[in-house]
Amino acid sequence: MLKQKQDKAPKGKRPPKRRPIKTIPMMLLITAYQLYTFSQLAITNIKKLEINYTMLIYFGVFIACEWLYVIGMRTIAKRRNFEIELIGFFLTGIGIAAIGSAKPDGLLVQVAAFVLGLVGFGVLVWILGDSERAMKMRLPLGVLAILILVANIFLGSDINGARNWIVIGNAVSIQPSEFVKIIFVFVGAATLEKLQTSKNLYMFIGFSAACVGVLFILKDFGTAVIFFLTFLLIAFMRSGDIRTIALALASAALGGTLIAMFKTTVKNRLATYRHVWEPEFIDGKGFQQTRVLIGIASGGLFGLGLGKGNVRDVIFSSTDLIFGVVCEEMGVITGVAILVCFMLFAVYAVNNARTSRSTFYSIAGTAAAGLLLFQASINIFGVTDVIPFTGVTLPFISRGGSSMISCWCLLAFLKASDSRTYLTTYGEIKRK
Amino acid sequence: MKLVLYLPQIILTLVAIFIIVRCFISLFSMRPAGKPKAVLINKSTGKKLAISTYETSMGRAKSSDIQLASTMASRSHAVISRRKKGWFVTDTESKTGTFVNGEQTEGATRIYHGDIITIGGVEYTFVAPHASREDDAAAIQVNHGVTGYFINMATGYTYTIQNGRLTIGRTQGCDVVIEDGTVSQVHAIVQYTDEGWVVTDNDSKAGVGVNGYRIHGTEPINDGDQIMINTHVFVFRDTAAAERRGVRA
Amino acid sequence: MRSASNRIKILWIFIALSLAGTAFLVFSIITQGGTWATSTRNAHLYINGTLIGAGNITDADGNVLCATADGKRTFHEDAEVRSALLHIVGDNHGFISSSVQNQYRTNLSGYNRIMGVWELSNFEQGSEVKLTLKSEACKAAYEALGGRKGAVCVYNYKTGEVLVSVSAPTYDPENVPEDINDSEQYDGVYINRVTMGLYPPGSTFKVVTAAAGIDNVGGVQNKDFYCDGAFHTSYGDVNCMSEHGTTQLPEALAKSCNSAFAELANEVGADKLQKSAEKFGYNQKVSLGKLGVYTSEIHTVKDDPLELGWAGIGQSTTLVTPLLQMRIMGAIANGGVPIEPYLVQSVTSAAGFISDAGISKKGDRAVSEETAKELKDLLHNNFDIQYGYGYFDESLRPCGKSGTAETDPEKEPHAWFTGFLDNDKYPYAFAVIVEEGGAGSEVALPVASQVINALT
Repeated sequence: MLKQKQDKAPKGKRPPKRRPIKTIPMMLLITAYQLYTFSQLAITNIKKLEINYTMLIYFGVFIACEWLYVIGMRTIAKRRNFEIELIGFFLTGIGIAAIGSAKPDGLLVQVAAFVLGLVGFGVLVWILGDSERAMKMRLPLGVLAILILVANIFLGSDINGARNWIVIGNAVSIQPSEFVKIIFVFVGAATLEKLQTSKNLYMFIGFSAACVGVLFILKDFGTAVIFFLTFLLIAFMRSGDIRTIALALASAALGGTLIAMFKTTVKNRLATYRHVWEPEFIDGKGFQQTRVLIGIASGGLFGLGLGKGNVRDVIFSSTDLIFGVVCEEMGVITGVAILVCFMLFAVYAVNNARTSRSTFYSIAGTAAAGLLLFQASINIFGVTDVIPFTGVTLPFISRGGSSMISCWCLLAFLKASDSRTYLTTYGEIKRK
Repeated sequence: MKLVLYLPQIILTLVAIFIIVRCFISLFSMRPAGKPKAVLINKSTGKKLAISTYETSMGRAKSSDIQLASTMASRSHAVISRRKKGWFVTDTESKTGTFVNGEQTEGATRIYHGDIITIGGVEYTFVAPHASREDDAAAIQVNHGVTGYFINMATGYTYTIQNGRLTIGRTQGCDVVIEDGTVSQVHAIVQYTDEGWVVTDNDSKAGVGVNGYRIHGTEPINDGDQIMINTHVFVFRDTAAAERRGVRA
Repeated sequence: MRSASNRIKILWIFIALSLAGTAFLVFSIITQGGTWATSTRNAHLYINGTLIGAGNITDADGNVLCATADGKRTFHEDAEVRSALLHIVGDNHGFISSSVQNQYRTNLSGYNRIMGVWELSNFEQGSEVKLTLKSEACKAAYEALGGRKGAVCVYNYKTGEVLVSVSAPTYDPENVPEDINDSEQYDGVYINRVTMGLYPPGSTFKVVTAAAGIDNVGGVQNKDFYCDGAFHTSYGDVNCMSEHGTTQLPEALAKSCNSAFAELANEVGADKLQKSAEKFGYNQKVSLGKLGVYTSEIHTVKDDPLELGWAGIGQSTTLVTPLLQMRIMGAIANGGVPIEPYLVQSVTSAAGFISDAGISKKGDRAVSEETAKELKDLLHNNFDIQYGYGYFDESLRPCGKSGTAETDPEKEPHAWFTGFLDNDKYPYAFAVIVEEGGAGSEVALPVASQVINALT
């Protein structure tokens, strides 16, 4: 073998300075951020050192699970890229801090759901590693989704005006529509050869119609809107030639039904929209929006500190209005940064499509990112009266176990759409 | 000053912004993964159709990746896809069908280097040197022994890659030894995998770059890529790709 | 695959929409955040509609004029100080809308754009508003008015600090009279007459006419005016108080001869008289921090020597606020350039962050330095030959002009006195009006004297 001797390094280009993040230091920073925010809540009196130990345990478990995942994936699965997960951790951490302030009782479920979500994420990333395997799972999953939704109609309980809950025993209540979101993206995406067959197309339209239809019956307006928007997105990406017409007709039919079915709801919402400050609404239908806006202004740019806000005392503060809690206690800059995260996820998904290994990945990634962006936008702009108020939750931040699990699973599609994700598992290296 | 008490809130916000910005910059600044390469050669005219995406649709429709002129071809006729195992062709409800070596296909059919694919009455030779029928990737490494070259741009030294693996570093045991303090002991490894050639940054201090991008873990490389080991620049040559050029010439 | 990859770019539309929404939200927060935060529904600031942690309002010497104790707004301990400063400090019911308490509510509440209500939630107190006023002198002014309706204002014409601003009728905000809305005694009690009272200037306007004369009529200093008890025009007469015979400008001003100034106004001409008045601040927006000030008005009429004659002696349609009168005197005292009056010395947040500091700001030049000097001599001359030094010590070098503004023949005229001290130690300009008080030099001059004595 040829050997080379060199006296001095030649003048040449260096690898650029803009380095990829080093996972461990970034994890340390995120942990520090979370420790500080959590300590604002867990240490109730700093002088007397009064500590809320229950809270401390939940926060501890959360941070431990983050580290367990990263270290496990690095050593066992030889993963190198963790940006997506780190952003997910960061967002979840903000959510857990806000819930710790708004509704500490909800922490147990939230942390447990995070662990399940992370497991779901890992499993889904593995499943999606082989597009053939993933494609084979679409039919059974689609059937499962319909079954879940139908079960929802019969077994569902009314909570806050919508029947979108299934209560098991007395302890666990799940929101089936959240899980159907994952399957919706799964079914919507397809490899190019399947995408070009009409059977696949009609099945997708049928499936979408079934999903939105069930959501009508369940009176879940917010989720129906999100499904519809995601349907439009997927439909556009799939379309071409004759398919365009079929999809356009299906979109029009779905949209039309959506409006017709929710006519009164929409009318009510529009009456309050942009009038929340009027005496008629300020303590009535505009109560939530005005309190969120007051909270945003009161929090200033950098927030009052966790546990110091007033929005947290408003009803639904830990679910629909969590954005107000975050802005008031952590500052409007952080609040806007959260929304920007969802926009950047979408940019990332579009960017990934250029080098995608299959339309299955690019459509799934884009649909997942789009769904998250729709939901975040509808929530944030709804509670701030930029658009009419619709009761949907803020992904990763709002309290809700089903939602947390589904958000992490959607993130898996995004991760899978990056062609680099599955490369790093190769090339095991031992130091000489 | 009482305002000092406000500092944690400001710092917290700045840290949040830093985390988000840093993570996303990292996501967007990484080098895009390489693209698969194969060619279809029209047997009668000799015209070449390049395939450079993982999934390539063929048909008369404008939206097809490869637009066919033949009137016997359907609007969307078939899809050629590169999967983990190798190359496949799938007929997509075409009227006249898709044939591989004279046999009509049903579902996804694996294709190899040199196969004849008939679409809409036109015969194409499928050229993808890494995907020959006889041997898969591992076999190439054993049988051929020599599968690639590594050329130092500054000195012109050429290193042959043997058994599909090459190590670069400061240690004497490496295939390419660079006696430079800024280079790590075992700095980078180039090897052949199921998905083609890849280079791996072995947790080096100074990093590894490919065509001007700093890489992150393992990244695919293609014939002609410039690999940067700190300030040392190498060019990677793929023997099989060179053969393919021979075929085309 | 290429077409699917291209179609994926549709997501950009949704990203753009989301971005537009964010921009709109941020814009709303910037423009309306203050309104949202100070809404009475904000439990950080209000309990049952009362500001919980509103900051103090203090005078120039640090005397607390208004403070919050046990969730209630309390005022200065002295009932007379409370009454004297009612229109500036404000009340608990928001009746005095132009008050500091109302106009600086956002600052007092403890909200600011950057920190939100962080300071209030940590220090339980809003920002402190420090005024330039001297509460003792204000009390003296209130006493000097002695229950009569009117207004007194004094400011430092070199720095712009307003030292005294008192409007009557007034009441004690801690002891609101029951008949406040019925009794004639409290007519217009919610209005701050210093900034919002518009009165005919009467003879005090002769200063402006004189300035216009000096600038526009050559040799006016040596010109002889003749008065036989009236200024005669083809439309009618402008009456004078007595027959002054032949006078020159200094004497005419000191004796306040209507005939002389009606004639001078006609020599200057309508346009130029109005222009001179506008340079002094008539028809111009004058401000006092966030407190509203009404615009003083003058509209001279061409081709009507009678109306122009009346205008020259301040008896036409001209209307002026005491604040502008004071500013006119300040302009003359300060060599022709007025310093804008200001009332709020500083707004200091609970954390010690100063967000609004009063600064001396020059207004537009009213008259040239030479004209200002001549006017100053004329105004000082008034004391030498007319008012004497009974009310003002000669060493203070007082300058001034009285005025008796007729409004309704049935009622007593308004008594004006405007002036300043040409004194480096006490650079004060002032304006006093006593509604239906009678002759300016007999009624308003003693009030001015008492207020200035309290300050010197």
